[in-house]
Amino acid sequence: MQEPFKQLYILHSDGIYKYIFFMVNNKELAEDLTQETFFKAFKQFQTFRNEAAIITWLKRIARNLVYDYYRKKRLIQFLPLTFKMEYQDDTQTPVELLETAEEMAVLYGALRKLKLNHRETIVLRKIEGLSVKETAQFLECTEAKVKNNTVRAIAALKKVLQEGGHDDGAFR
Amino acid sequence: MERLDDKLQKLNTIKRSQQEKLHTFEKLSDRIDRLPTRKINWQVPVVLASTVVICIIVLLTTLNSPLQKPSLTTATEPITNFTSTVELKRIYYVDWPNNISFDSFLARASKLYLDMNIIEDKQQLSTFSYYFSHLKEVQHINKSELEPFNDFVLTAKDRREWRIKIYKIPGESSILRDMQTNRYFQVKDETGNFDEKLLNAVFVQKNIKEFYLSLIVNVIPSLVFLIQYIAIRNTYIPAIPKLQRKNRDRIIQLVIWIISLFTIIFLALYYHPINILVLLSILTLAILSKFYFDWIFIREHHDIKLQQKYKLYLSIQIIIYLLMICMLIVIIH
Repeated sequence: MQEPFKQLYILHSDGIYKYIFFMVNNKELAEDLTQETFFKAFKQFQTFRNEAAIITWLKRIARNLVYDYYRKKRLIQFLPLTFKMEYQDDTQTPVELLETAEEMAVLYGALRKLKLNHRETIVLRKIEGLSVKETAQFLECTEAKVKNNTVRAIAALKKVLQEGGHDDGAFR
Repeated sequence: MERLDDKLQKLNTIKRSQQEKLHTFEKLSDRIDRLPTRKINWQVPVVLASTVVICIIVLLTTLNSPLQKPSLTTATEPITNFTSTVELKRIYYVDWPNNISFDSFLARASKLYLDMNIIEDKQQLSTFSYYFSHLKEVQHINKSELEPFNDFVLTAKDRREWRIKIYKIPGESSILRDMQTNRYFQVKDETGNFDEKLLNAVFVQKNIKEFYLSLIVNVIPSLVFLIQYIAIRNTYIPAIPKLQRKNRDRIIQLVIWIISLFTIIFLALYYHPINILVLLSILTLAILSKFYFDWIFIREHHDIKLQQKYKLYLSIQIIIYLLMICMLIVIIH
């Protein structure tokens, strides 16, 4: 493998993995799709025209793969809740860490129950922290639509949390 | 209490296993290293496919040329000119109940008419020669009662020919219609059992071409599927799951198979040489396109080692198909 591509993988594969992971809710599948994303990127590297940032280009390939996956399989695979220990926040005490992990587990569980477009909006806007403009560019839609989708997605997430009995103020 | 936004943002700190990351990287490197270095040149199979189709068209067009060109230039004579001295060379007839129409007399001009039969037995020719020279004209006839039975073309050794359409009336003797003069005749009573001889002549010679055609159409695809099954099992060539096909592939395949089906039905209902030509061309396109899309899939999803295995498997299938074409043409001929 060429060295620049290796660097590209090291630099961006975590970001791509996270995006895919939140979209498909399965570690192994996320790894496989990450591999597929970079494999496709390697094959199509000549077509990359520097019109977008390379991470955006990679993420767009990943997005197509995710949607292809759902289109082909037509089923949603649920991730077993084994990710608690993978959560990290070095600034927290052990007790805080335990509480945070539990809250995150609940939040993650709610997130995976959302519709794919709502989940994607939350992943991009709230988890990855993209701006409305950046999200709109990535999704190739209007900023108004992104704003609208964000509001709806958050409302849907809150509803799922409430239905799960987590309306004690922790997830306002 | 932290706000929902902050908590969501914290999800981003989820940690990816470094071991998994490394493992994925190794698998990715492995796949990239096994990518074929030279590009597959698809002009070659496309040119081959076009050549096969053109060859079929040329071959069938050549075969579809008149059997005996000189005889075509001979004027058709009225049946009244047929005497017992006429020496018949052969009789062409179109099998009941196919294509009983005026146009079916054109059948003699083509070898590709599968329902075209020939009587060349000297004994039979001499018997028919006797009957056709002993005809009496029927003056009054109810045409609505006539049921077409056979179209006959009598060809004499001196290249003269007579065209006769034979009708059967239940419980009565056959009626012969001279297509040249449009007059109706019956075999004279004293000449004996013309109908019996006619039936014997027509039904003794079973048309086996249609049988072989249906055999080929059914057996060869089964053979292809069997080889496909054996090859996939023994060489570990991965079968192509339908779910993994792209919609584009599925739609093109569906369209091709629908057209093929229509052509086969059309062939069964209304036989014409041009149908074979169309059928073979469409079948060629269907099979080659199937190979093409399967190959594209294998190339995109599997390494070079599997691609080589698949090439061999593909070649066997193409050879079978070409053999099928050859067999079909031999049978028709």
